[in-house]
Amino acid sequence: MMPASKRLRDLAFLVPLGCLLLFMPPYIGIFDQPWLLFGIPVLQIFIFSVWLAGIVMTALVAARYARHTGWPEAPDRRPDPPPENSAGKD
Amino acid sequence: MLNGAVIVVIASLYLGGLFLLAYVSDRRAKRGARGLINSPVVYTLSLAVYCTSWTFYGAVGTAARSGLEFLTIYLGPTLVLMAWPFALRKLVRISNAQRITSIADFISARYGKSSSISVLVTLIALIGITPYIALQLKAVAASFDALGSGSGWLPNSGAEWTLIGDTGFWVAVCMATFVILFGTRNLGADEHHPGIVAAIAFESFVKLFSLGAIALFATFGLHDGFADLFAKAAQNADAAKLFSFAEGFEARWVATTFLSAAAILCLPRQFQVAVVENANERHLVTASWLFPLYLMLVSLAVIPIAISGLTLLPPGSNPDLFVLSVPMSAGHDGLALFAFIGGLSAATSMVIVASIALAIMISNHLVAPLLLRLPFYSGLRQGSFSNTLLMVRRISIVAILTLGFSYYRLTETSNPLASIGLISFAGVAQFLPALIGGIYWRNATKAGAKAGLMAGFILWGYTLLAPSMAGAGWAFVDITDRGLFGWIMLKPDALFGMTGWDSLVHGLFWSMTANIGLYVIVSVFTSASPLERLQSALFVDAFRTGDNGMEDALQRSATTDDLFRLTSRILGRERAHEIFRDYALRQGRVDPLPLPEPALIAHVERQLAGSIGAASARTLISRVAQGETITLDAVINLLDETQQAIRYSRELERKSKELEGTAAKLRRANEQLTRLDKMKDDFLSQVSHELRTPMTSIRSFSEILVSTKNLDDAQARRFIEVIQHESERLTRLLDEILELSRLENGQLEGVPVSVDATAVIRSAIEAMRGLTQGKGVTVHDELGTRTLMVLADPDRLKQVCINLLSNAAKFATVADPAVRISIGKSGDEEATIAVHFRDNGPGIPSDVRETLFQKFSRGWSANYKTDSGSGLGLAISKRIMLLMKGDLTLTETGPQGTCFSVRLLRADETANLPQ
Repeated sequence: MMPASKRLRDLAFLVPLGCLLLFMPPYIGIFDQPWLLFGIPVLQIFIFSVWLAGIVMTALVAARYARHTGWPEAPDRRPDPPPENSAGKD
Repeated sequence: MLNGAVIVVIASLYLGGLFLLAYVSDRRAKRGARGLINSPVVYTLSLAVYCTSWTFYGAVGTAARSGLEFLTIYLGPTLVLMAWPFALRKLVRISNAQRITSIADFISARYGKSSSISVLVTLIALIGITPYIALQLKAVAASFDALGSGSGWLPNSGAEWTLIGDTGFWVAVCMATFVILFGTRNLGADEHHPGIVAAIAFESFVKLFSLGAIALFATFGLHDGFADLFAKAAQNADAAKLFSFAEGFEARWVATTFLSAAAILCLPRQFQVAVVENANERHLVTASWLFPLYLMLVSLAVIPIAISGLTLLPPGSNPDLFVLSVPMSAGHDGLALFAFIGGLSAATSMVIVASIALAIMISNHLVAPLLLRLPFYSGLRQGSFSNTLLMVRRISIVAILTLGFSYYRLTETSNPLASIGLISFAGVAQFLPALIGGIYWRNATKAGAKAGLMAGFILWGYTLLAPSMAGAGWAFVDITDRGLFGWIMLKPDALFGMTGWDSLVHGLFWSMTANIGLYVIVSVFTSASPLERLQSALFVDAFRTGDNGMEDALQRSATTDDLFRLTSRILGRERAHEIFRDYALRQGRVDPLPLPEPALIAHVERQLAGSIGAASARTLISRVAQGETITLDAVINLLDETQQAIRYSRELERKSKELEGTAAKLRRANEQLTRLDKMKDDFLSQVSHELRTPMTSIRSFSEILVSTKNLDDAQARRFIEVIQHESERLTRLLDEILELSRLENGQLEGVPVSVDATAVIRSAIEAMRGLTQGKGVTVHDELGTRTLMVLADPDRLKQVCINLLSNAAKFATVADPAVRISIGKSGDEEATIAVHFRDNGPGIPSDVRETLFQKFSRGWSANYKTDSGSGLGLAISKRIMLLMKGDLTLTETGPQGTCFSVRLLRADETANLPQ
């Protein structure tokens, strides 16, 4: 079994890759059919289903991946509030 | 139909609210209250500046004209955000560490802080984005006119144009004011604009809400849900395009997805909000799914509006204004006004961020380097440069919007919204190779990046921009029609005779091929300067290296005084004081002026870069610091050393693993040695014990002989016989020990030869006949008549047989003792045979079996007392057989008798065996 961080890294790579493949020809052409499902074209159902599934999986993976990732020290690099005596600049 | 004045009032109120929001957010951020602004949701919404009026109006237009292709504009960014750990995160990490101010700054900093690259990138961005800004102004103006005149879905009716009456002009003025107010307030530590981020996040929310409301109205107000919507669409030839792909859609589908994916990284405004304004890397975690969700909702909303527009409005209506005309045609003016506000949000947010991003690039990379060359600014003692730079930015913003406005006026009636946007995308996509290659490819060089950018830019201009201008009818018509210099092969939309391609795919193909090709080839054939190599390492190893540790290795020297003066000129006195005081504190000094160490120079350079870009900061620092060029060699060394250190540590790791393995082996060997040592001790103590028995007996009998005077002859003779007998035993024992020792060293005097085993065994039987008959043991020879050629030393083999026979005779305690000698198969092995010596003795006790073939096993010592037998016999026999590549085993034992098997190597099979 791979360590969790490595597996999550692979997953984080596989989700967009899988979506990319399904969104590109020839895969996307498979659902280019003149049928309707619940009155909606199957092509649109396919695209938006893959899209939504990708979003859900990214959300699941990203949160876990973030927990296993080393983040830099709070990278908040905004200036500190200026001292009172120099606040008149703008 | 709405009154124009009402629209103006409401739009003004909305924009006023936006100013207020930006103002409040700026104030709160200044006070340090960053709660709301510093949230991942606001970050995500600020990314949605991607959805401009080109999305708001243009996506519906594209959907109505060319079906599902509009989706690709949102699929590309979706994929990039989903893959955030691989590109966006690295860009953000590097930008935070290097205080990057724009995409031009990023690319130039990567390639040795090259100012020529930053100029090139700035110019490409300016040329690529100006039409895009024009597009926004056009969208607002067109939507205003449509809403005001109520005739928006009819083809444009010409009216006399005045500047004052042009909505686009007022929008441009308004945006210029906004950006100048909130984008150029001061030169902070870096390019963070909390007010602007808050405003565009709010606008993103408004435009999604507005588009969603119209989509719901189109679906459930104008139709009876989705099924009804698509049923109506199926009856309309144009709307039916949304059901499936057109013939040959693939090339354009792939190309536009690639373009939109590139755009989310390369558009200056996207780089500004996603990378430069990013306050926390963790915000990417939320944005990675929330932004794709935003885009999906936008795409979902587009379809019902497009279908409604196509099915309900009169043919010939402008699809780019369906968002407005659909609610208007149904008499819902309030909803139309809401749509207008949504479109206004989309347009203004793009104009705001694009103009601030471009203004930063223009001021830092085009104007600042020129100004710093002027005598007035090049000295150290003149007044503050920061005010000048802010003024340059303000002027740049006005210039950008003027340029955008002029472009909009000039091309007012030309292309539909979408094509301008895509040409713009293709322009900034030229940054992609240098950008992504820069963070992953260590050996990419400045020359390569420059060549790639230049080639891509020229081909983009030639194959995409020029035909678009020619289409508008005001330039390059000749070239587009007949090719450059009249060469048909150089026709911009069919370069080198590639006809029949979609013009976007064609232009993208040629520009990207040239760009990537030259970038790679030139990079491979040029070598990087030391500074380039340093920057390359800082960028490519962004996740590996610590916080700028390497940069401090530039051994430059400068006086603190000079550095301070320079900093206060660029950043202002207060900020300079702050920087130097903080640094002095970090050095642990009470004095507010820090020591002028190389790390301070690097720190100051980074602070300056946060305001004026890496290239300009480097130029300025190099004016006050000395010694850089000499010690850049040290940087190379350091880099090489770092590489070596990494290699070395890997080597160490490998070696320590090897050592661990060796240690384990040693431990095992040591255990074995200890065991052998103990065996040797046991052996010695046993040997001495066994030797003592005959010695004692010899000594005691000889003492009797010496000390007893009147011993009769017969008795004396008996004693002497005992002494002689014991001496013989002693000699035999010593001989055997010596022999065993030789055998254990693997020595066998004779070389194994091919002999007849049956003959050897029979001679052994003959030799032992005296003993066996004396004991009354019958020996049954069941060897058969065949000769049996084996590979053995005949004398040794005979010795083993004699030993086994004598053992059998020794233990012949039953009534009718017998030994049967027979030939049998030895397991499955064809190459060997076995000779079985089977007796009907009492069997070997189970506690002896284990140690039967060891020296001085208890079985042997127990019976040694009663017999003058061959002591170490079984141990010696076993060794002999092993040395002849055979074996001696105990195959069965018990009350019915005991069987020893001698395994021998067949002589006729040995040819096949490995030696």
